[in-house]
Amino acid sequence: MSDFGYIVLLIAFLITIYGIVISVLAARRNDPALAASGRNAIYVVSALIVVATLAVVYMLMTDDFSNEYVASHSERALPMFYKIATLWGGQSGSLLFWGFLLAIYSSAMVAALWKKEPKRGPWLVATLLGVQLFFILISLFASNPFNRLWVLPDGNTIGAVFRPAGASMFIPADGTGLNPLLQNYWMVAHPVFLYLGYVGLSLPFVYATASLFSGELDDSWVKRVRVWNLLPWMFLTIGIILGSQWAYLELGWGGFWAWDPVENASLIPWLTATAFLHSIMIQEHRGMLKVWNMILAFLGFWLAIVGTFITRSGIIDSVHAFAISSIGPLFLAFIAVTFIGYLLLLWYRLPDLQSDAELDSLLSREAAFLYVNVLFVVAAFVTLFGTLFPIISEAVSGTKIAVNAPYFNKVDGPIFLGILLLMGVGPLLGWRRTSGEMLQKSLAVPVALALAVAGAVFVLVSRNWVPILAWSLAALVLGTILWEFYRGAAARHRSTGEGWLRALGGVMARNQRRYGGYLVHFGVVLMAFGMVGAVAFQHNLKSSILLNDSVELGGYTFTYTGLDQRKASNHDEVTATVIVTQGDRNVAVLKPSMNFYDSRAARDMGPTTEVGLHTSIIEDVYVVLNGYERGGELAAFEIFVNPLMLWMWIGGLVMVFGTLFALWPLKARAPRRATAPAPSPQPA
Amino acid sequence: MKKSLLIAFILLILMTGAAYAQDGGVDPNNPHGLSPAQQAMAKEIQEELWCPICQGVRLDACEQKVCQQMRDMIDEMLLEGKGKQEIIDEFVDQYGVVILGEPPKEGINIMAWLMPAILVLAGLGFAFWMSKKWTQKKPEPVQAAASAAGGPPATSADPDIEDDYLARVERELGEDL
Amino acid sequence: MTTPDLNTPPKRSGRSGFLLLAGIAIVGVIMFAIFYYGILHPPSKRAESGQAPDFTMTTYVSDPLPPADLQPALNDLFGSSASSYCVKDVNNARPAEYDQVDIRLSDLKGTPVVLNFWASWCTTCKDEQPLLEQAWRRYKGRVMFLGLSHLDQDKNARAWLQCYNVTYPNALDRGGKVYNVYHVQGVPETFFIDANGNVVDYYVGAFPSAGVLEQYIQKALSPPTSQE
Repeated sequence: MSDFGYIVLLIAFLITIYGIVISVLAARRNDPALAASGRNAIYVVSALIVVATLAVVYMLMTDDFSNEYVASHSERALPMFYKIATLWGGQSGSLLFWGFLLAIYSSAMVAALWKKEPKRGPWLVATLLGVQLFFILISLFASNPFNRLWVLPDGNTIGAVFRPAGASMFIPADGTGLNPLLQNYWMVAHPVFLYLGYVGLSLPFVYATASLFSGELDDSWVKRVRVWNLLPWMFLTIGIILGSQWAYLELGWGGFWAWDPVENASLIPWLTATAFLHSIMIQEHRGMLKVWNMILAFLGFWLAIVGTFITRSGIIDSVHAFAISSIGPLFLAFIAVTFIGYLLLLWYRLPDLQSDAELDSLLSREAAFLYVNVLFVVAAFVTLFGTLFPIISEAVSGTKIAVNAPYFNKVDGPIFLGILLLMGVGPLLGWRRTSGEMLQKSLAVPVALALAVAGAVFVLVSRNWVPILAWSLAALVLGTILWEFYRGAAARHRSTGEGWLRALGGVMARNQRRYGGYLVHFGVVLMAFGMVGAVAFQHNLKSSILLNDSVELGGYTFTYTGLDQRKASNHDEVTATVIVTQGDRNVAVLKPSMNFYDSRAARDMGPTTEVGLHTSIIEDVYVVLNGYERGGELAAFEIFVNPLMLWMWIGGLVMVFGTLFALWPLKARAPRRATAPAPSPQPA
Repeated sequence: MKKSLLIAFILLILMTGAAYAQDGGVDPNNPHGLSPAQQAMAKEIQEELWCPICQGVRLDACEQKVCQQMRDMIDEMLLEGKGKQEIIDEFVDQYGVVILGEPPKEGINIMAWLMPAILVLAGLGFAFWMSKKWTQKKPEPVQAAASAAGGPPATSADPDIEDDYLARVERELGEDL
Repeated sequence: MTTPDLNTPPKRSGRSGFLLLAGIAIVGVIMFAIFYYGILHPPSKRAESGQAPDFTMTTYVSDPLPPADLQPALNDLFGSSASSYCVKDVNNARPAEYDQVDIRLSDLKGTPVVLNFWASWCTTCKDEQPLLEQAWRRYKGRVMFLGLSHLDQDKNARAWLQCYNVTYPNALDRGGKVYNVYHVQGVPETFFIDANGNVVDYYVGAFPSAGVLEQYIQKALSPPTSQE
């Protein structure tokens, strides 16, 4: 099966090259027959990569330990569900999985756009295949999931596709097992969404590149690329949120975001993709920022690759880094080639990318968009800089330093607050210009709400300026959103005479993009509300508790009442029972546990913990079992009370819902440029 | 995994146990017998130091053996009557700057603090320069276009601002019909 | 094959577009430089070969503290059965020859050196410490062994050395200074330095067996020319 997969991938490699060559020829000669052949090539390549991926899945499911990847990442006792998920649990598997997702995206994109894009089409195919070629090369030559295990004459075991001289095949009795931290539902879902987002960020890049190559530089590309950016953006958002959820539930340190390089690597392209989805609106409405959009389309993709390089090549230590490997130089070459190539291409086309319009006023929506864009991109590069800084510092001073949460909170925090401020003000500004009085009028409600929240927090909750500022800015955004919903509904209510609710529904359905966007903003408000609460007002206590004894934290009493042991298929589970009460009220019975995995890899890492969690809209009560002694007479716990955590997850759901609302094809719309507004038709 | 120490960031070393195993009447949660004020100070110091072998785990929430040793050392130094800053300095001296949550503001590490400020200023400066440049050029044709378009011109001279806003909403709604 | 767009009015924002490209290019070049350095010097490669960086270590006083003083640290490190665990191998008393001396690596030229980084909080170090001590007793006189304790505390390191009856010179690596110049990835890690002061190889993690350690010591012992 290893050989089969390898051969399939090799054929895919050849067809990829054919597809690239034929598509470039087709574009240059303007030959539809060649173009069609190129298009067919991408379908064939996609199908072959799917088959190769299924071959790995098949080997994982059937415990084919002659395969190096299966032997070093899976084991017999692993539940079937996790055996399949092992595909993205290790380096070579996850890179093949990356190619698999790209194959699906490519085919979908080409199928959807082929008819609409006669000129860009062949270039789309060529660029998509170019990206795919990189992943095929990685899989074939640097990080091969189809390696088999061999015993060399000197007794060492190695992985290789072909039989090394004098070697004999080696099939271990069992695999070394999957990292126990990954044996968790969140961790199964999180990488899938993250990769869907990461891989999907290639699509805007591909579209931009095809536009630059073909010379079709009118604004149609930003209109058509919107879906292909928003969808990956949504997946990346889900992936990041699931990742925080995983960190929160599995790592047992009470937090959800550690500013770890791997986490940062997912946040950085998210920031530029967010900037992109805002700035294409300017181009769509006003024909401005064309070069900037070309750069952002590239940056999302490029930073995703850079992020993968940083976390996988071993240039910095990371807790969830994959094994240090040989893929670094290949990634670096790809990073350099795409960067130089794209900038040259863009430079060549610079004369064709002139703005159609001027900015009328600093008090306009496009000005706000411009500033928020800059802040997003700066936040991305500041985060990247902080992530890379240990390398710079060590290279210069020879001393190892750590860049942890306090640094990122200090440097990214103010930028994020600035973004919140613009989120509050921007939507109230009209395209082109807004008069001071008008802005004053529409800002009245949001500002009043923000001041009220600031005052209430100051008097009732805390004098800490961070939550006061962050929450009042969040309130400003909320006020803006409510105001916008109210105005829209009111306008429709007045003109159509519909009831308020119907009017609101109608106005939302008419303009899904706008109101979907506001829903996403509302999700951000909820997330900010929850995050700031959890970070600023967290209590924690490390305590060893005697059986039937109790401790208190944050108004709760925690009583430790027992310890049980249970055998699961590939691990032992030790579970403590902790009764949480608040005064006379029983709050919850929590069951924090420790899992001792059987596999060799897992024993080296020590046990993992499952937290005992009671969640409510006010606060989370979070208990971690860290150890026990004398058969459970004494157990060591770490207890956290995390205020408002639930709102973070609700906010995440609202963001996803808002994106879906904006994307869902309820009605075909034809957005028009504000530069030349037609005489406005009065809604009847 | 050879690098298990670095990778296993929630490694819990059970077999070695903690000092509270003995039955010497020692309070397992305060083995060194700190006063409540010292305990509060110990917690405060723990919140400023970071696990040197994990990534992004603060000392007070860390279960590594090395962190347990560090917490013990804080307690012992407090009992010796040392102050907070003295203790942190001693830690930096003995363990290195890796245990700080952020780069120290000295030497090359000043870069870590200057760079974000430079990037923010450069970014905002660029945005300001761009918008300035755009607004200064040719204001007339655009205005002409706006009034020619039939939509109410959105100037501050317009007395009926309320209606102007609504007109914008309605026009935008209309666009979607 | 460009078709100049005739509808485009003459340049307006050409300069800002160019500026943008230039800015991005500068950022990209800086990043690339960092990555390139990182690739050339990944943590795993940074100390691979060449002259071993020099350092001076002040060794522990081998004269052990009264066990009563060390008992809490011993209990902490080895559990409440520490005393019985630690007296298992007392037939070799600690020699006094390394009492609180300064040892400089460059002074040891002519003798191969095994430089081991360890820590008292490190579980896998427990597995290899007896192997290292046995090898030391075997190669004493031909190979020098040095131990540096990383991210550690005086009393814990002493308790450790006491318990394992370690007789080669050890010291606390304060501030991780030596650890940093050797670009150690994590404890335990061991460097093998030949008679000329070159790092011939290093081993990350605990030695699985005395045999593996032996192989590496042999590398440091063999003449440097055979390494090429």
